[in-house]
Amino acid sequence: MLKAIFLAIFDVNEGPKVLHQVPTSSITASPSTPSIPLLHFPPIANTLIPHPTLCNNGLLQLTIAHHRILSYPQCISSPFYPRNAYTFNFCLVLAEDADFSSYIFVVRKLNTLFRTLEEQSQYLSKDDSKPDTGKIYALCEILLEDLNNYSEAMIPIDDSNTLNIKLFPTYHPPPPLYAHHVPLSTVRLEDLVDENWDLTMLRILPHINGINSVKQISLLADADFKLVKKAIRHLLYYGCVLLLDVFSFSAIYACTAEISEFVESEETQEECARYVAPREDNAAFALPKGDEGEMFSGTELAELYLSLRQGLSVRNWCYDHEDVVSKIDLRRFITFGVIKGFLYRVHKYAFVTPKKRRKLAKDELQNELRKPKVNVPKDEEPDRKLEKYLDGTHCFDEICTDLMISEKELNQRLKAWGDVQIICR
Amino acid sequence: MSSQPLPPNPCLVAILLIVKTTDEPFVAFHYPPRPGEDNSRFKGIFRDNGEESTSSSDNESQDSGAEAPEPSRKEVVQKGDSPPDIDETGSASPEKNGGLFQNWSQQRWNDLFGYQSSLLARLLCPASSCHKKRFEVGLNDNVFIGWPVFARPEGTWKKVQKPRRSSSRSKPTAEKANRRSKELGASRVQNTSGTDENSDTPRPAVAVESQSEMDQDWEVQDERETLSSANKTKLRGINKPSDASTTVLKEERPLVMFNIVFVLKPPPLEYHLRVKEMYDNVVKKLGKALRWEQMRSSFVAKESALILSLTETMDSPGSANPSLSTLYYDLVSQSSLAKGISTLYNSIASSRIAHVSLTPSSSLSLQIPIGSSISVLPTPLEPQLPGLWLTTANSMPTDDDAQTSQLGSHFTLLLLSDVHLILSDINAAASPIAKPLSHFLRVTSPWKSFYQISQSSGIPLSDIQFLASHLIYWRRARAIPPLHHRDIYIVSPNADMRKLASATSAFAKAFPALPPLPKLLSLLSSTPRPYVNLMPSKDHKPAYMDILAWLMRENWVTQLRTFAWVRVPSQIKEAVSKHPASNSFDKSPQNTAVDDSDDASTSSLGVPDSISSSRLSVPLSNPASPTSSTYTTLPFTQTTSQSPSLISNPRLASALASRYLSAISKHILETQGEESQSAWDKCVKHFDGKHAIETIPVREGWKRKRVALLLTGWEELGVLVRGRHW
Repeated sequence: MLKAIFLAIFDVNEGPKVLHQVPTSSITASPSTPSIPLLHFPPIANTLIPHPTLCNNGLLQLTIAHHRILSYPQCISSPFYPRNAYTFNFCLVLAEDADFSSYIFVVRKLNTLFRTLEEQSQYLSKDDSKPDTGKIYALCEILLEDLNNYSEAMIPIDDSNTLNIKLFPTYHPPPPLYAHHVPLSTVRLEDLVDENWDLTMLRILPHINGINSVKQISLLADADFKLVKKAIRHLLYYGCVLLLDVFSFSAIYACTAEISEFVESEETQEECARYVAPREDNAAFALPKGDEGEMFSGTELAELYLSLRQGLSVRNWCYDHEDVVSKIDLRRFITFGVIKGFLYRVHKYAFVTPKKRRKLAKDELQNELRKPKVNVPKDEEPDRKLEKYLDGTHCFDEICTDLMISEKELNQRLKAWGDVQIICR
Repeated sequence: MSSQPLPPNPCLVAILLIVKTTDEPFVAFHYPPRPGEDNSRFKGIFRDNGEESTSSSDNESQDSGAEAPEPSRKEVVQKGDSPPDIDETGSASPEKNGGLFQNWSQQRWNDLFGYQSSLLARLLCPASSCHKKRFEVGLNDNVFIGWPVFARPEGTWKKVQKPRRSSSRSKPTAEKANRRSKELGASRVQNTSGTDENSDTPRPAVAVESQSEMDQDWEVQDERETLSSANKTKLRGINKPSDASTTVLKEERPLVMFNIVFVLKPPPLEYHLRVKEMYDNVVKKLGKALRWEQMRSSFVAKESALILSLTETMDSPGSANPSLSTLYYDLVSQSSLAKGISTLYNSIASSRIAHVSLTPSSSLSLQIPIGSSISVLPTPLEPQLPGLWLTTANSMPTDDDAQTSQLGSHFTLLLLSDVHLILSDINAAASPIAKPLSHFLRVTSPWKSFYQISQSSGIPLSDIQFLASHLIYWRRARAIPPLHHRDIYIVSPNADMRKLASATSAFAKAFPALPPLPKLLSLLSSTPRPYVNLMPSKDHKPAYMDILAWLMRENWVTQLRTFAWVRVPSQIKEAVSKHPASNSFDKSPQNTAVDDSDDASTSSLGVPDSISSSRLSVPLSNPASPTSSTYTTLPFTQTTSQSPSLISNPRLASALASRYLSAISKHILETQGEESQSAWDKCVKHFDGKHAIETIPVREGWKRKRVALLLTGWEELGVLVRGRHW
């Protein structure tokens, strides 16, 4: 929220001074209005109207009296002006602890636009309206109102110039995306589509369903993997997708500390009961109350979630709960827990000591040198392709997705390596 | 996401010392030598200054590449090539520097971030109304934070009680320091070994080596001088008077203000967090310490005069300028303030604790505290914090009567480095609590709680907690629930797998006779089971407990703790609804509804809020003696409309939940006997999903086996649900 906008200039007679301020008397007190200024201007006057070197040099911000002033000092040197230079600075005043990143653009735009206007037509220096009157004051007034009320402003300045400003929020950079991540949309992406959307994006949209991994999406959509990754990172940036893991029956899931929140929240339990109900009687979605007999109670669901643990694959869990499995959508049951954060996937990692890896590499080299033509049966030979994945930093999902093999096959290939330690984390 | 802890990131770019005497303020010292630019060619200098150990070969090789300010001069000239006057769009983007740089073909040693040092100093010297206040100015992405300190209005630093002494004393000492440093400087120019004369830690051999290195450097410098001296003198700056007389004057003038300014480059979204962290933990504390030293012995005045005397030749055109690396070597070895600032920068920028000794008698330690644990596992969408301890033991209530949950009597200390190392550090620091601290360190053990340590060693519990918090704050230790061989440990889901290879070799060094680390982690990966099952035999127990402490310290494992909730089986509900209490509201149909969702409607009716009182009151209001037989005879297969439910907080149970609880208690009495019932009544308050079951034996003083048996019994009865997490 903007507290004030003011224009400070270097007056040849008076030195740095505030020319226009919105609201009136927010920066310097005037005898006509009784309000107390937000801050004391004289100590910061020389900072806001600085030495020419610091002008035209980008953002200059400072804090004073629990306020933050964003400014972008401009200095135009020309023999036209007295003292051969004209220095001005449109400043925005915000609360000290307010998020100001979106206003940096505003202050830059404001100052550079007026610099251009000044250079073209001496728009500022020729304007001899009294302080807090005139067109520049009016512009500041509209800008403050519009930005605070609508977060955007479109103010015509003259026949050929308009000030267009909009506040854009800053988001975190998207997290790293891997081939084995499974995107799940949080909004109806197809409703957002318009003709300007990227082609790759349009191709991959139908395949983002919480089941396909990024790699699978690129294969299904027949799109370049790098472009798919870029498109999904784009969706991630705007918070339109979540990232899950590849669901499989050999995967292991266990509870996180947030499980106690699920146990205590009936709302979440009801949501879960609706979500995990089998897909064929989709009527349950429309009439959740009518079908109550078929649905699980929150307590039952909580107990089911609590029975998932480290070292127990989904397959083995199903053997223990055969009666339940037929009544729920198992994938959604797991996914719900992962989305809400009270379940986590226990990833598997394979580790072979670097010494052994090196030794194998050496052996192979020697073998090749000695008898290049003789082929050892493939099953017996440790898989060279796997080598780079065996340093303990690549989870099984990643290896399987990259090599496009099943976990079963991976386990078999790992056997050839002999002394592989599998770590579940 | 905002509640998520972020990985430590000090964003520190540089530290500047701004000093103002009666005339213009100036940048007296800055570190690193070339902040905000490509510093790779100065790497050697950083290393030398930071660890203040120079190896001559290192320095020589660096110096040829260092070329002091020359390359950056070129850079700036290139940058300044596009003055804004040419810029037709009128957009002065941050990349384009001011056009006035064109007039500055030579950049001075203390011109920073492309700004003239005198301008920067003026910008960073606020009005005196900012005395002892937070000072913050931003230039593009860099933000300058300081805590300016001004002299008293009468120009002195000491309190009014002894104004004469302070003013009369500060001057001669400053002068003396000056004279001494000048002598030093002179001797250096004459190529006598001058560097080790005043250095804090004399290393004669090194000094001689560096001497020869300096000679070489000057030769290079001289060549450069002859080439460009004409240019330099012609285009000499206007602002800083370079002749010696004014400099001397400046030094003799009393110090009016100083401001240690920290330059940060925080990411836009973390701006407030990072700036606040730095200001609260480092900037303000350092400012206070320096102000105190200045008041005591005009430390800052002396040091800045000393620094100035060493740097005054840097920008004078005629004389031979030492290279930047030589200058910094001299500064750091002669001025304790310069050394302090460089140490501070090197430590804080790498998120370590900075130990700064300003004067021989005073030192201070500064750090930006970092979290030792997280309770929530980051999702792929959130910033990852691999290698941080994952637990809820610190964030959830563990002891209701303990003021600080982390240091409750049932916790203990896990030392993060070797105890001998900590002991030697403590003895070296000569802190007033060194003696009790080393005594405590000798008796502490990660498998004994504070309470047990206190009992066995005789140190009062409050002292232990104080010493423990001291060790924790200074990153020497961490508070953990005591390690126990019967507890369950799993590979931490937040373990840093990237460190596996290096940790494996470190582990092999620490425990050579035992299985390698990956093997152990693999063993810990299967179905969760007590740690004791991993041990091949009883004789291995001490070694395996040491391993556990190691694994815990390096955050490879975390304890899997058990949490429980009271489950109300349907037959209990049935029985309660069949025999309603005399209270009229209990008969209302809503109470036959599933569970304690009606908390809101009933809890307002003055329900007793503690479990003990509810146990007393509910049976009284529930005079149904025949119920006792009903409970046991209830056929388990009977289908009821009432499904079982969980009571989330037995301590603050609603009226209905309280009746369920008392019914369960009776049910236990009838099925499992009196002992089980009394145990249930004692334990039920822990069954809220927030108190770990592992703490029950310690709290109640029972054997672990007994608790395990009881819990299994209750679980079989269907009145308890268990879940495990960290």
